[in-house]
Amino acid sequence: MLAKPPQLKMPGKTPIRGVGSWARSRSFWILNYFTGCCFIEAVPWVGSGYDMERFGLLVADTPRHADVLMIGGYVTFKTLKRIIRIYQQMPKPKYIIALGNCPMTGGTYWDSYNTVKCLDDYIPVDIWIAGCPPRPEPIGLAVVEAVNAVQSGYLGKTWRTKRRIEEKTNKY
Amino acid sequence: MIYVKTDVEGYVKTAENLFKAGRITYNFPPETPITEKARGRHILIFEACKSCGLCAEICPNMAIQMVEREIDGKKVLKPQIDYAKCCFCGLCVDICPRGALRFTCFPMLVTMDKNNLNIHLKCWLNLPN
Repeated sequence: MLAKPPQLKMPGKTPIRGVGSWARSRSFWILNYFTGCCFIEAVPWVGSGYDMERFGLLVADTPRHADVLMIGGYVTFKTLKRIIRIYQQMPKPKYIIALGNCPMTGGTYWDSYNTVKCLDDYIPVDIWIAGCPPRPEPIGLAVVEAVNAVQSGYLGKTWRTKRRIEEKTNKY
Repeated sequence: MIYVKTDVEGYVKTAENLFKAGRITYNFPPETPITEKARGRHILIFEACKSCGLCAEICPNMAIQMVEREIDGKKVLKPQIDYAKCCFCGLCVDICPRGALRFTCFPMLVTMDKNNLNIHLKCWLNLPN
């Protein structure tokens, strides 16, 4: 019995609900906030090899123009204050993509004294990309997943929905 | 001389690409594996694994757990990898005495819920239950 090598399953297409959600899903403006080495793997999407503008992604200048906040690399308590401040300035609906293992579980810095082990405790993260650091290709898959979710009316996790999920699962 | 030769080859290639019609952009999803040398998700060859637990001991991020599982009426320990912690260092692949754990070049690990990344063995092998 040999294990089969994994194969890519693209997420299925979702119905489009309304003109607003359709337009929003085709024009994500991204604000990059990179604190670690994952930035190096995300940069090729700007060039013509991967070409992020075919998905409608643009790099936004200020948080007030941005729809998506992209966090790459480990988050310390010092940078966490800035992330929360950027997140508060963004207009609704807002989404967060986190790159790499470090925001998820601490990754290699699991015994560090000032790395934030679980970013989910502080701000609601929508899409996680695993890897240390992740390759550039999974970022495209994350964008496809985000387009599918947003065009069917997904408005991002808020504190209220997060609390509701926690109450259901009795996490704490 | 080798350096000069490689430099000239590079210049020739860029000059060719300037006048060549066609596109440089990759398709998405990628049709051919772009990443043949990269480290991606593991596969476990089930019969070769003798459940020694060396991979769980050496893992620097404590990503590997030995999980009990019933196979043909026997209870055996098999490794289970949490990809929210794994850093793809390859120590578990190197130390495995029978070569049961191997890397593939599959990099796509994207989820909306991070608990899905603790991939159980039954998902690896596409087994029932």
